[in-house]
Amino acid sequence: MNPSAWIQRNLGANTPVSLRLFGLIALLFVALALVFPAAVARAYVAGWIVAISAGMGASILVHTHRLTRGCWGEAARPAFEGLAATVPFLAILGFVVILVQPLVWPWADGSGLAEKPDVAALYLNPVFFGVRAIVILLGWSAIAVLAAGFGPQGRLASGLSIAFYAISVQFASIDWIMSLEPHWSSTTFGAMFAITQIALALSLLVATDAGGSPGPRDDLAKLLLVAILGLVYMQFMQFLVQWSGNLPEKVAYYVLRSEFPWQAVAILASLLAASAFAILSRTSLRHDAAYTKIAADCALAFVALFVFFEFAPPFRDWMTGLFVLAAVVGAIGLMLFLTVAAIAPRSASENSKPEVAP
Amino acid sequence: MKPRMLFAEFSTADALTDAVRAMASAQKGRRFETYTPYSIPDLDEIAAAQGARPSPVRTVMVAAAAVGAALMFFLQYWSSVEAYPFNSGGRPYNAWPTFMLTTFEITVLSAAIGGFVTLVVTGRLGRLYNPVFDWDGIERASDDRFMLEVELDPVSTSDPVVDRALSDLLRHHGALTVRERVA
Amino acid sequence: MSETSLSGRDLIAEHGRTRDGLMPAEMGYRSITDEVAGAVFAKPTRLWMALVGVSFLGVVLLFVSIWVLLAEGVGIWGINSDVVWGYAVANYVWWIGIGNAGTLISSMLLLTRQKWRASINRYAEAMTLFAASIAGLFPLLHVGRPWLVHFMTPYPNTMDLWPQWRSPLVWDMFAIACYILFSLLFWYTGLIPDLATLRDRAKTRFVKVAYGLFALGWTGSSRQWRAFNAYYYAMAALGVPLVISIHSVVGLDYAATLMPGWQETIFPPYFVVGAMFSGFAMVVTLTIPIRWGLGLEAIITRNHLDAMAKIMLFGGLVMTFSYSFEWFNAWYLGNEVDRAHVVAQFTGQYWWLYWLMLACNGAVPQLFWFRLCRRNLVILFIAGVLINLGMWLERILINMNTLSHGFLPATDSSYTPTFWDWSLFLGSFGLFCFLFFVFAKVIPTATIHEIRELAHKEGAAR
Repeated sequence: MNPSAWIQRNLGANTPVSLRLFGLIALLFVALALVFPAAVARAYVAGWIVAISAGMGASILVHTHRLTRGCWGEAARPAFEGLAATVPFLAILGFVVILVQPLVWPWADGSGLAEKPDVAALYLNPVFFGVRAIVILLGWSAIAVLAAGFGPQGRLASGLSIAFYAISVQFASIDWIMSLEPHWSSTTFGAMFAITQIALALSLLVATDAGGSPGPRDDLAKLLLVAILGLVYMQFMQFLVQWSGNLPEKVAYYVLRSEFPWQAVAILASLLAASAFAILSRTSLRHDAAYTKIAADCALAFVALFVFFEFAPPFRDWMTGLFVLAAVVGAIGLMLFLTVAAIAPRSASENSKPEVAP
Repeated sequence: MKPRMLFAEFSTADALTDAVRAMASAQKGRRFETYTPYSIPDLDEIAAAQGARPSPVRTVMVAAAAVGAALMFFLQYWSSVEAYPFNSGGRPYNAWPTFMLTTFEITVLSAAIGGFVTLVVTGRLGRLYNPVFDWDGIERASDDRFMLEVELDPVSTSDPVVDRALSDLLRHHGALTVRERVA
Repeated sequence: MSETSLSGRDLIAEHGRTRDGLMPAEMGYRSITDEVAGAVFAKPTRLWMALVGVSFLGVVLLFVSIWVLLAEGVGIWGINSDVVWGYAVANYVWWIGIGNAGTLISSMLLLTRQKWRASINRYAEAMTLFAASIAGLFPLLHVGRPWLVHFMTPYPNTMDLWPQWRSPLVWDMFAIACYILFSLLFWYTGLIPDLATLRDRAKTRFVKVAYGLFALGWTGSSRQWRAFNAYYYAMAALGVPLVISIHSVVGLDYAATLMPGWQETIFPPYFVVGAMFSGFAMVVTLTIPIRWGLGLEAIITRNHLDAMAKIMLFGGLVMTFSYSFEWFNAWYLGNEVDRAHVVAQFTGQYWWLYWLMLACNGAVPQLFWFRLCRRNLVILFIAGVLINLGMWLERILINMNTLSHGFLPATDSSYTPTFWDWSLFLGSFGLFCFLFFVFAKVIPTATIHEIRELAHKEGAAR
């Protein structure tokens, strides 16, 4: 008996292919989670961070646009709103992140922070982590709902949203990524995480050509260029300060990442960023959707490796590394699909209109 | 033999653009130049349609940047590794992360200087006298008038009918005055 | 020149403003030229003469201070063997911050196509040039023996000595030198078409030749405009990363050391934001007297000031967040020295300066959440001055707090500025004002050719 006949008989319905595919993936996921619980939990967290980052990046861009105006925001509005609308749903999935803490963060079982007990008591412990995550995710959902076009659309709402985001993203970055290495810290990490989110959202928008016409496409491509440069700049400054200072607890971060796979990841990421820069910095190439798409694909791969480079090394486990990479790529693929879906109605209505001669 | 020149003065940017567009379509291949108080992108489009090449400024800037970057990095590498190796806090001689900032500053400065030289050369700046300054009223091209200078054929072979058609066309498009002289 | 034209004020009275309020609804090209170039050719007022006179006293004070310094050595300052960086370094950082902001403002507004740019970019760039040059003076004096400063440059010499490329102080020298040259080119290029306007309007032979030499024979041909635009936009695009790298180097002067409170990865970006913040405050502080003194109310409007106030609000928020994340991070990392440093900031010997700085940089910009405060000239001016004060205090405190309270209790000390510390600072301020007043009388304070373009786009002129 073939599987489709089995499904038809047992579920009594002609389930669509996508649903069957979803079921298969879910089954695979459960099976893997039973065999490799820690690696799957870590991969889930990484994938979830990437997915919610895309939505938050888009939300912050919408709020910035409401403050500054510009044609790029109008043209890409469906894609922006579609991405922003994912945040509340992904925030619900954040509860799993709170539950799997012991499998992911080294401090979650109360060990490893002997030399700073006050930090363990007041900050890095499972209860406060959960409370903070709930506050952050509630706030982010509100910001994203405003960005998706519901509720007050004024400048004050946008200004306050950005102010809340600026504070909360700092704690999100510390809790979710930085505290994977609880003895290391960097004051620029939160700002870098915010730029990562914005760069990810912009890469998705440019990759799907959400601008649609040369003007907005050019603007979005320029913004992407700025975001990529910003990310490279922040990472290089963090590296330069800690490498130059050479203080044991700080430079340990880069000592770990100078080992085999991670150094290669860093070089590959730099090459991808350089390729995106080479294309996006040329005015003539920025007007051509084919080239900006290539650049955005490079940027997406760059952001994926960037997150991978930040997230995966401290586990020192190749299985976790593999799973995290798959989850990051999968999350970007999912968000890419959702962006395309958000733009689709507009393209359909455009195609249905008769061509007007210029 | 020196060409005769025709000089037309317009009071608005739109009139000048219309006139140039009409001239470019009615009498193809005329050599002309406009003098305006600010840059008018439409004129660049017409010029580009006639085959004017874009300014080489940016290409030169990219090349200058690349040369500057390579030289500056090499200077730092060579002086710290070959000429004067000095152990500072156990850091490597080839401390490339610390070479990056100076390399970047010099890269940008090279591009800036390369571009400025190209601007001066291709824009024919630095020549304080220009024959176009001999026209009466040209000083208003830096204020509120839009000027057009067209090269007519050399005196002997000129076709008066075609030239008169040109000045009529310019007047029709709002030229305040149209004058001629031997350059 | 026989045609008379109405002034910007009269035009607003007669026709009202354009929809976005940036200029009168009807303003011909001639009126624009008259409005801006007229201020250059007008007879100097008594007020202007008085201001130049007062600021010249500051220039004299500066030169006396430098003279005494070169004769006596840096011992005349308040620095000592623990607090080795004092006012000179703080003033340098403060001035270069203001100096960076002009290019940043001018470039970013051009790249983001902000229509209100044309009115403020020229003197923002002039501010950059003067402030960056003054900033360059301080490290030169701070090294104690400025006549040996060529030792820092890479050139083949009989000592077989090469610069220490791993030191941020060498990066710094390259950064400032490159930046002064770059901002000179950027400013001068934007000025060429306007210098041609002045050349063509000059009434005497001497003035005509003087402007003509610097106008380089500009004709306004489409060939020149094409090259000009290609270059000018490329320079604007390069200006932003350059400024960011320059001020990051300044941040790295601190961050690449190992001192508590300095070894922070956020210092490079946060110095950049601080520069933008203090720079906009300086532009606002300069704009209000300039538009009043030169009668430029038609082209520098309250909408311009409103937009700048919003950017100051943004900068103030970023600064406040950065301070609080530094405090939090010191605690989070669990390093005792870093924690003690934060406590010392709030309760140590300079506690009142620190609280004053927080009030100026953190609390004052919050006024700009309110439209009333963004459009009130008196509030804007006072807030601009306070923010500049706050940013100067920040630079002073970065030096004094860390160096007077280091790793060992034995190195705890204090810093008391001397007369010569103050005189050099006030003198540098005098030189800045002097250069600025002279500039406002010799060179158009707004970009005439861009305002013409704006007038055409807005429908005020055809």
